[in-house]
Amino acid sequence: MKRDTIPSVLAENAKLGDKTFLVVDRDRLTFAGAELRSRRIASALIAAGAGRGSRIAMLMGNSSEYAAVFLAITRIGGIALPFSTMSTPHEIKGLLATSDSEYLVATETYRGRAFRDVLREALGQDPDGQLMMPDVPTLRRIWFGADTLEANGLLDDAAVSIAQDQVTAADTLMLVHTSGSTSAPKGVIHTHGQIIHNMRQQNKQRCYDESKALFANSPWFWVGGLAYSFLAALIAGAKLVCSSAKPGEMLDLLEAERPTMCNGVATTVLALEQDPSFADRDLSFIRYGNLYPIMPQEVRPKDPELRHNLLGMTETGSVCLYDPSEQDLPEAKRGSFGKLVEGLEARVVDPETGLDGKDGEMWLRGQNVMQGYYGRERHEAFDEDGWYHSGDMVSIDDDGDFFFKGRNGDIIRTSGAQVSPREVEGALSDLTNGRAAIVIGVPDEARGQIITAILIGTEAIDEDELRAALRTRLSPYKVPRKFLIMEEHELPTLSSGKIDIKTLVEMARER
Amino acid sequence: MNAETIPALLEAMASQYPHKEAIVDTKRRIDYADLEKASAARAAALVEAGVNKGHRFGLAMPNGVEWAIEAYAVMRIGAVLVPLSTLLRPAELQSQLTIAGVRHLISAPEFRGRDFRAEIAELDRSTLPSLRNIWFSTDALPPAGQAAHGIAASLADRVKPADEMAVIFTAGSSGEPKGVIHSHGDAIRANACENESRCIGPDSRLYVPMPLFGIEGFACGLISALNTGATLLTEASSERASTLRFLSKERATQFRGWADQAERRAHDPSFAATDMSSPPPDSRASLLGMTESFGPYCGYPSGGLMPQDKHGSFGKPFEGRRVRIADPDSGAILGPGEEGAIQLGGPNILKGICGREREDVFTADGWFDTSDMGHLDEDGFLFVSGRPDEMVK
Repeated sequence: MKRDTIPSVLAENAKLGDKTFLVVDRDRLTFAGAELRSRRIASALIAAGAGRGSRIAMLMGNSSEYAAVFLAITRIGGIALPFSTMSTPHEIKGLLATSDSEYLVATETYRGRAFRDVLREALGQDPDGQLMMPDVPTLRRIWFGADTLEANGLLDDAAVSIAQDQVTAADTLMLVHTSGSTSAPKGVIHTHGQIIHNMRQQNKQRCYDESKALFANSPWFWVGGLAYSFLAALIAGAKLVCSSAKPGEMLDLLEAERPTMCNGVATTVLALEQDPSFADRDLSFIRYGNLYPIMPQEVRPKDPELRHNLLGMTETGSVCLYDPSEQDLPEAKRGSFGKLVEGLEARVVDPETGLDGKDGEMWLRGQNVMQGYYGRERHEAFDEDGWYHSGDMVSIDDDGDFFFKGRNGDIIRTSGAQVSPREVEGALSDLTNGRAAIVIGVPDEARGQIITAILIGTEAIDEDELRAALRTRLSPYKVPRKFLIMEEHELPTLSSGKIDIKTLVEMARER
Repeated sequence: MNAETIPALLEAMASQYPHKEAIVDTKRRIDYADLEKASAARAAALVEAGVNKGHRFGLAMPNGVEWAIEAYAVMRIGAVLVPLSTLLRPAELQSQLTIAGVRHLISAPEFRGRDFRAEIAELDRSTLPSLRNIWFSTDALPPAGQAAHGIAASLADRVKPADEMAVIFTAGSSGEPKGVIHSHGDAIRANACENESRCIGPDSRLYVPMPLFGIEGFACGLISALNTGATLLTEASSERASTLRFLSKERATQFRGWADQAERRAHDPSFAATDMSSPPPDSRASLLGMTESFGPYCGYPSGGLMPQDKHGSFGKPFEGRRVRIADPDSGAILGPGEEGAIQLGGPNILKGICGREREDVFTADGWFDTSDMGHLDEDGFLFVSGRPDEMVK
């Protein structure tokens, strides 16, 4: 059975014509517009020497420009490599080199950064003309602004058409770098066939179809935004709405576009709740999603912790654990991440014994799982039976619902016992009225690691009182031995925005 | 650690056996030091001409020193070699260029009565959007500039075992040829598993009549020589009388031949040919292999005779090769003596097949079904059902 490619999805979407595909604040793109703009850019890429298998990096934020470039690259069988727009010059150079990118398309400016200057600093030379740099030996050309590509040369429909006909479902579609929390980013490879099939199934599960609109701000340079928002919308023929506007304008946009599904991180919407106009807004069209503070009362959960979370990773082309249920869950399901999505099989394996059970590391296999990491052989990423060891510690109940316990590397091993930082953080949060806390393991000669709780903010605590309270909730060995107070701005972060745990551990050691 | 990329191997052999003959054909010979230099210089010229890492590079030339230099120039910068048969009709060439997405093509201008300049000029370039450059081997490329030399050297340093090395075409069961993709790592390691058994070492002068564009010539000839420091003897075309002269003149110690060719030469006393000893055919284990396994994966050590009860087998899988027998319907793994589908696994097999998704090539646990039926006996000897003596496809 012949499987989908980006060209076949674009062909399918031809019937959608002027239907709105993307809304990013004032930037709008219809399905017809996406097809036409990407066809022009594709023609220019072909004229410039790119084609099937070409590795083309992108430095762009969520925008119609991004959409046109991504579709241009992939419809001719090129490989899109989106880079985070927050990357430092040093990181960009590293990404270009390790990914063997041949071309880069960057936007002129994004969120105050002029990428020509950033690239000049990254490469140590002007980023113009034909590039031949031994430090980044595969890179040949950088374009600033999709319009420089669109404006170049004539639109050769025939060339684009023939190039498209030769794209197969087995061809690599994208190489997305993991926003790895401990090591250097790895380039994760997905093919047309697998990622399109994956998102089709997920769209079915979450009822994201032509009639729906999704509001999601996840950036399209990471898999959550790229696959679960952008490609999902493309494949569904549905509308996708993003915004980085001030709360008042964002609310205007929501009211105008009426997205029925809203997904993302709570911080996006906290500001909305606090906007003076919030009370007068009618957001009753929002029926699904996890941005509870802006959802109508009747669809909000009584307790947000009693709804399924979802888990995704770059290696599985975004979401791997999910449950579409919008019902309030029983207490026993607190912390549930739902079930395995279609296209995956899983094992839960105890890392010490190697035996399957109800608690352990989640291993994954199936069509949703990446082809591999770029530059690494298959056996470096998969075991002898083809399983990918996710590094995520989980437990699974009799219904097949998964509960996420933390990353294997984050699991604290103290005096021979294993402690999930998430569990301790959860307990702390309950006992301090929601005060943010980060629990880490700090190296200790006697115990291996000691549990250290970092409470965010300036307010002092009564350690003894807190410990006593925790002992009512947690086994004694899980109670933090050490407490530290830190302000939010003191926390070391990676360029991905994630907390830099390694550095945090070092800081905690010194205090 | 053993070198697992072509550039690392070229450098290692140049360092270890600089003046040893690497490749010899009827007109030219080249030692390992010069092979390293010549392939590096050619690589720089290719970079100057627009070849880059990951580009598929078609090579349609007769066997010879030049074939090897061109092939190594391509592979050492991480471009992907696509050896093409010199017997392809234009329509077949068009098909293979499309399947592999070939971006650059180098061809002999003519060979054995075929005018490739004329035939290639007839290709419909508009239906080959990937194909950017067509060169002929007798035309000089512009010399490489300083920058191209630097790039070529840097690319050579950065080639990884995981990088694609070559796409080797083999006949598919449905008529369409299959482009089998191998990485540096899997190919070099796969090849290393067989050379000891075939008694190939630094003192070997190995004659291989098969074309280098097929798996036998490429893996069992070219790569086996590079992997061991042996000398590869090869001819553009093989005729009985001239080949015998060549073999004699070049003091061939080993002959990797098809069974019937071996028989024809067996009576000649002028050289020792270990692979051609006189005992009856079924007491010598032939080599069993395929393009997907990068050549032989099973065989009995050359020059030895198998025990009586093992006659008809292909010997044991080489150390480092993983072979199992599976039920063709259920996929269940079968035990000794049980007949089933022969499957190959482990890190030394193909990376994929052009245009085919993973699920259509490998089992869920990453094994490759050879489409051969057979069984392993209690001692691990592999028997194949309904197969002639010798098969490396």
